[in-house]
Amino acid sequence: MIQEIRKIIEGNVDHYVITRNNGTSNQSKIANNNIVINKNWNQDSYDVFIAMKSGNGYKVGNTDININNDVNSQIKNLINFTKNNPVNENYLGIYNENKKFKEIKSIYDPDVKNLNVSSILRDVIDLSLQKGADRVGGVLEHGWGTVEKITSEGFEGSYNYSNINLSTRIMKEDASSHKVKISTSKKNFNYRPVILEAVNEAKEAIYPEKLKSGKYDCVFYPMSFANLINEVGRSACYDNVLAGFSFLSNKKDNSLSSKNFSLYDVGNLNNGFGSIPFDYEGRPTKPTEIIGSGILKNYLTTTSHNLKYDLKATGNSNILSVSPTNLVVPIGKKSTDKLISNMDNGLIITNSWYHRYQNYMTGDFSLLPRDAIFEVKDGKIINSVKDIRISGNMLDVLKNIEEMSNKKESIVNWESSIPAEVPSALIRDLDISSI
Amino acid sequence: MDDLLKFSINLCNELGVEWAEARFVESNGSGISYENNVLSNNFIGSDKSLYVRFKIGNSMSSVFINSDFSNQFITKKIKDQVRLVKSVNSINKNDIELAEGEVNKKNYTVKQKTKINFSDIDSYINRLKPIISNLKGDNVLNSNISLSTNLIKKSYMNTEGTSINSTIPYIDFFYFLTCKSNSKTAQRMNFYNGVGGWDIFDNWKLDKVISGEVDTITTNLKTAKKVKSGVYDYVIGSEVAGIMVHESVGHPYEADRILGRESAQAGESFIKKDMMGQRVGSDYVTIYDDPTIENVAGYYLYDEEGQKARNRVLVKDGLINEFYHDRQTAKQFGVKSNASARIDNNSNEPLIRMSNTFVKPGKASESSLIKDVKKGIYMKNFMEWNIDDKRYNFKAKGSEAYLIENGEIKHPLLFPDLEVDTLKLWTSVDGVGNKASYGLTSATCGKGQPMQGVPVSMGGPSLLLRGIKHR
Repeated sequence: MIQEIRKIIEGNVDHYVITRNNGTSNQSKIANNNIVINKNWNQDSYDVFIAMKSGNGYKVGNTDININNDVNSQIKNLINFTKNNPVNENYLGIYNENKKFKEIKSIYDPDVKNLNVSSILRDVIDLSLQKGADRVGGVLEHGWGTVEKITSEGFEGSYNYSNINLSTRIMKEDASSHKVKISTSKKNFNYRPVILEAVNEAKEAIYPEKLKSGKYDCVFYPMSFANLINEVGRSACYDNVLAGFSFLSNKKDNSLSSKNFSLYDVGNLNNGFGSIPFDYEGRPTKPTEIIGSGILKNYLTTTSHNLKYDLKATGNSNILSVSPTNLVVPIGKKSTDKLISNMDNGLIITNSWYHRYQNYMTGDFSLLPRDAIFEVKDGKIINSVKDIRISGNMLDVLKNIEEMSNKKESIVNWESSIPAEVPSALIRDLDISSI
Repeated sequence: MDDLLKFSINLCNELGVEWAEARFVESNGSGISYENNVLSNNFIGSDKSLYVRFKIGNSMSSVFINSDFSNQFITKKIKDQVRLVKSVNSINKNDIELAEGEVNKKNYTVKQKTKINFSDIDSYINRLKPIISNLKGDNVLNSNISLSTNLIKKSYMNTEGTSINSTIPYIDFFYFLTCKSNSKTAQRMNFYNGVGGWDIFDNWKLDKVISGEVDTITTNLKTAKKVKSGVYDYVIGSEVAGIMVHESVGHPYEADRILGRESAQAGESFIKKDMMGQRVGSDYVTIYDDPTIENVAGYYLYDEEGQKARNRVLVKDGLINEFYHDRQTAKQFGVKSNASARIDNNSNEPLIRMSNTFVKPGKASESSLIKDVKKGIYMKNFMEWNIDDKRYNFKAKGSEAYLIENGEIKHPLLFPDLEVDTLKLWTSVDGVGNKASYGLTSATCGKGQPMQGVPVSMGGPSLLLRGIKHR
């Protein structure tokens, strides 16, 4: 079908990208120690982008082809639709260089299809309850598929992918803990330690107390730090910079954080949940230093950003928008316990949600810690707390990142849709309000 | 379409399921967006898909297909899922049961006075031009505008004999602006979602609305002052009432949250099953959710389980009156479903969702509410907001806001907070405006995993809240 679409398009447009994503995914949802639904998705989609020269620029159009309708008329519709559009000044072209790309073998494990779903679900629930959980909720997901792509610039490529994702929330009395385990292969899907950690954390968090509003140092565990890093990653996308959705606008080469903090987007990360060998345009992916030793080094870009703004093309293109792949924060030297012991008046934030901005450009925001939160006095945990909110400014948050722990985790969760490999982080002097 | 549904339902019956439903959805749409006054993106597309959900033993299962609609492929996928469900059934201690449902047969179509043609891009561009022309001044640093339309045709059948066909056209408009004045910036984001033809969009008169907002934001930035700590009475506008009612009443009254089914996703609720009839607001507070209001974002006449929609009275005179139910939660509560099952697209399971949620208007004018305040804050709209996963710890940060002194509006305020727990919020209501407002504040509401964003509207008249602490 992809070649049939090409035949119809070729000669009628100047640039095109045809992408097929054919995949199967499955999800079993756990609530109150029961499997409440088992879902199966079978998707086969064809995405077509075209650009047509008009004066000094291009008119562009995009569609999803429905293979159950007449493909020929859908393409003709797209071409007519595109012709009637104004020139898109944000589009200057697509990747047209070296057509070779390197496979990332670790992102596909055919054995994922053979995951013993019922055995894992039973084990997750039984183990949680045996170790003291009152209730367990979450999802077990696994999927696999193939992406194929051809472009007008001679690129042809395909890759297979697979993934497994276990998200579990453990409830114990009035406390909870949420942990995830993600993997691209069956053999690396070692989920049991995550369950044990979640049950222990929930048990330690029971009987939370009210906290006094004020300034606190905070250790963010990987789950909550991944949520913050997702915000930084999104802000580093140059389409968001142009649109006013970024607090990193006009900050290139500025010092934003301590030298201990760096952030990379690594599109070709081994075993990376978000790894892809090439981006939407067919450009091979690679590591991009977003923040290096505290300094903003690069934005994530498309070919059009490269041509229009003279920014390095980073392999994160969706043609007219930008997508981060895997956000990676290098580890530090100290253990998480050591970071905690360095707080006199602090909190441990294990999870968070609802990160919202008053102003994306200035970075003024607030978010709510979720699940277990612990208060730390003179380096020691004294109790768990509840009903707090963190308000502040993302540039201040970056400035106050002091150091990272020496162990990282791979996270995708409800709040962090961009896969992240992050350690725990000590962030000083955050404004905490308590209702 | 009907053949596919009948085949799927018959197959489920042959495989021994206890209950099944099948839905076929055909969608057609297009859209366009502008960034900083130049075209930034556009699309046109169509889709067809089949969704089958069934109960076998004590578990539910679903299959989604958007490609191969052959009988062989559908049979294989449903049989695979039946096998899986049988293997997990023994894990479950509790059965999943459905409350008795209505058997309905209905076809309905939302008419378009001015019909949308998805291929006619000029009809989109011409509608955005007047808006864009107002955003070219130096006081607008960034602007993002998008307009999309989608015609959704659904056919639904279940094993009980229900058959519903609907055709609903959706219009979605979004804008996001960064305004500047001297060295200060302020941002404004809002959604307009409606159901119908172009006439719905045209009635919004967005060129005037948005240019008015730009003028107000930039003017206010010049003179706005920070709020001093203290206790204030608040008069809040319809948009703020809307987000309050959506986040702190709508969500916690979803029975699946109350029962913990969304625990690991959108969270649970501070409301418990046995709290029916308890006081959660002052006598002034009556809150509705009505999916049958025409032309607004959350409109539908039958839910995704084929049950007839009706107005739900969530809170009556300050007392909890009703929760949102699908057939699963209705069974557990011993009530009848109030048709709250919705989907965002055909690939996802129906979940309990809001539709058009609003506060019942009272008798006071907004000016009389303001007159009744000695020291207060008038918060017309907001930008940042959030709430915890039990729907108790709420915050909205004002965008256009003013100080009230001795019953009069004074100078603009720089982004005051309304940060308060849900019970304090609704028990502090001491006056309700007389201007009904629903449908003009809308949003895409998120829930579930994968995230399902359904169109909803929310609102209310202006409200007077007494004695709220500002940090």
